[in-house]
Amino acid sequence: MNALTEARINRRSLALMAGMAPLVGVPSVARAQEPRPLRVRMSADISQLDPILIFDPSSHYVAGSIYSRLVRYRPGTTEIQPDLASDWEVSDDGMTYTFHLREDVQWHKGYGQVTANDVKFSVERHLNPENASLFAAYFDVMESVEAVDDFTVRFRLRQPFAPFVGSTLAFRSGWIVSQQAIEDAGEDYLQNPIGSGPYVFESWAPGQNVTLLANEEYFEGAPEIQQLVFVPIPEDSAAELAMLSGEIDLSYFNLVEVFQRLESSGEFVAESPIGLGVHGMMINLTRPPFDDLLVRQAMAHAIDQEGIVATVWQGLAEVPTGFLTPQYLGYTDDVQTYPYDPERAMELLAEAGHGEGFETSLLYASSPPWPQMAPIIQANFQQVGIQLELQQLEFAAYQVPRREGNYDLIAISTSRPADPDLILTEYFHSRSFPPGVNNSYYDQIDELIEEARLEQDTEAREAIYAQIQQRMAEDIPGLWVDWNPILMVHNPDIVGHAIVMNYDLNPQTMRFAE
Amino acid sequence: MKYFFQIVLSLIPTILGAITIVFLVIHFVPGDPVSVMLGEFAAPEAEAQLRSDLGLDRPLIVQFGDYLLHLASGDLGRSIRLGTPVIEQIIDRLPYTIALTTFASAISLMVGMPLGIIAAVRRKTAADYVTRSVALIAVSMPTFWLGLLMILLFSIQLGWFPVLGSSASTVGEFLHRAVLPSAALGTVMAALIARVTRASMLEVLNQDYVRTARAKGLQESIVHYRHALKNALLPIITIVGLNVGQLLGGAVITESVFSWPGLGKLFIDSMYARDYPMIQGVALFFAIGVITVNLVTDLIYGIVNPVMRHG
Repeated sequence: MNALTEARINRRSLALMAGMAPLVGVPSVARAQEPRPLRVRMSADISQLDPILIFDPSSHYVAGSIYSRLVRYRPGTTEIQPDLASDWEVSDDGMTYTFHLREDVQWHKGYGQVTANDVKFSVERHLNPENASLFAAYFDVMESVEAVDDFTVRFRLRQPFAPFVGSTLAFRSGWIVSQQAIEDAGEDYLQNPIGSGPYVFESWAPGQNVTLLANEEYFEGAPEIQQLVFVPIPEDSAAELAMLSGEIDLSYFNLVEVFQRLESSGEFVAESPIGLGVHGMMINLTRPPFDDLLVRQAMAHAIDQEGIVATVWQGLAEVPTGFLTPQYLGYTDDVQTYPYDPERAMELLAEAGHGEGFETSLLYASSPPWPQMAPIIQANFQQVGIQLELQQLEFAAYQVPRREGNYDLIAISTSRPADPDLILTEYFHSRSFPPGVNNSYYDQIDELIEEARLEQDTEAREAIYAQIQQRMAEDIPGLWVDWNPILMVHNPDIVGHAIVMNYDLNPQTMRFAE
Repeated sequence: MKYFFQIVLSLIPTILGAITIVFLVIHFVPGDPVSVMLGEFAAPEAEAQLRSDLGLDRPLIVQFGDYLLHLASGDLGRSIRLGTPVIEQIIDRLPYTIALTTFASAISLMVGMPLGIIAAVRRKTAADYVTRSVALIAVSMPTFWLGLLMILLFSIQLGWFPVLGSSASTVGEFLHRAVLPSAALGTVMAALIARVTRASMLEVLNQDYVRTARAKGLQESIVHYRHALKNALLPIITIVGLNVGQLLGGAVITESVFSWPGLGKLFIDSMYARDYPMIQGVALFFAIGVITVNLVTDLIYGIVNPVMRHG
């Protein structure tokens, strides 16, 4: 008998003994007959459900079940597949994209059919400064969007932009809203979002939960799970207890020890694949001695990545070959690497004229795994004579020196859509120097990034990204410590869950086992 | 009545002081809501635009003056994070925190006082030592740790109570969910009250009038409860009143551990997002709460101790 059933039996027998069944919440018969909801933990409460304003993972999580896009990632992967659009064409010059919409898609709650005008409206909302869209810049490349007829939409770009489908339309910036619903709800849209996705918004009780109901008219067929309840639980340890008590069915975790405890309990399905995230340190190339490549090579050789993966991650992470994980388009492992070798590091430092080492500092935010990882890196550096001062700040405070460019080394934790254009542009194009997040002030791959955008042929584009990775491995604008796993635990009777890659939960693929 | 209004008027400077301190502290903490809201990949122009939309680019003194002006007309502003009026959120969450702190106070009085009395009356017996040791441990225990231990025992092992405090649909369910967080929050204060009750009772029990009462041949229980306890109450009431602030601080932590959707959790969430208007609004309510309870404590003094009525 497992611990959970034991606990349940205990609960009943004790309750009956004490004669206080109503007090301790033994489920009543009537409730047991209601369809079982899928209860999903989110790490914070939602803050927005209007797509143009969504910036946090929790809101994305919920919105992803409500809205559709023209295209989406196939659940659990980084491949593009049709969503509202049944198919699409790209002109030979790569500047015109024509999408043909499905004709059988209805808005939630009787808002009628989804048409090309809604797509045009949704995209143009980003461009109106009054709407304060967070994604306006994503559409800089777009010249116009028009509804050719009720079910055909045409985008004209100012120049070819290959990531338009994979990055712009398949991520947060691509959700389609109903013009009528936006106008009807006005300021109350947060409590009245209308989409065309697999689930319909039912209610939001701030701080308590968000409830969605299955969309019986969903164009791919009504989802099997009737009700979705998202519960905000910030602390991993509290979520662990809620998993154990059966109050939530599915949760992603940050803390390895919590994940491993749940995994070893044998009560749950636990998965930990490598996703799109990397942990690393950007090197401020404008400050000596980091302008010296020998010094950067020495630092790269000084970090014991395998030791970090084995201790901090208990073997669940991977030693990175570079900044992009294998999930990204164009990933290559054919790059120069810098295995852990303190002696080689000291030789390189001596060669660079820093035989006695030097003092520097690492700035990082206080969210896991950095508080655990930073002291190990400090010890690694100490071994080769580099004195590393650790500066830990809470996230909002960490942003201040980060934006000012005021640091030697700065720790980052990344995760972005699977198309490499966005992440490379943000982290390594010179247009993203601080206050952007090119914290290295690295400017050697601008042309390659731009060349890749113009390239229509996917293989040729992949080759450019491979070239970028090789170039970065030689230049060392940052030090990559691990590719981190996505840590997910769910009840064993949930079937069809696909690991969340781009914050989309895809509840329509799930059901409860009989 | 005139006396009452005088007291209320005298509270205004206190509240103003609290608001000013909170305003200054949160603005001097590094980081601002715009950078949290727009995430790392925001364009500088978009940031500047939002900062100016929110009025955050104005001098601090102007922002503060503006805040006070709105406050004077009862407007707490809109949440930066949620876009909704601050007052709406606070009113949604307030009942949870009032319930939590009220239950916790009730639990702490119901447990702490009897234990303190027993320890005093049975001084230097096993009961006394046990009570004092348990109280010492409870006072030293961090609330969040105690909360987790209680969840492990009562929710996971015994299955009596839910882990999550949220989403109750009936009053019965609400009360059921409130038991564990209230107990966790109340335990520390119960220990404090037990210690104060014991000390205060001991002092009173040694006084002449108690000896007189005993000499008159009164029953011990009447001496303890009617004569001694009545006079020992003042320090206990003081402790309860003074600790409401501490209780609210504890609520911030307890609410996070138990996912209890009260003001404390709202406060923490707003702090991480640097949601200035919300932080100020919640802090204002906390200040009003503490001041009100202290005021009530003053009034209760008068009832318990007639000497203080005209003081």
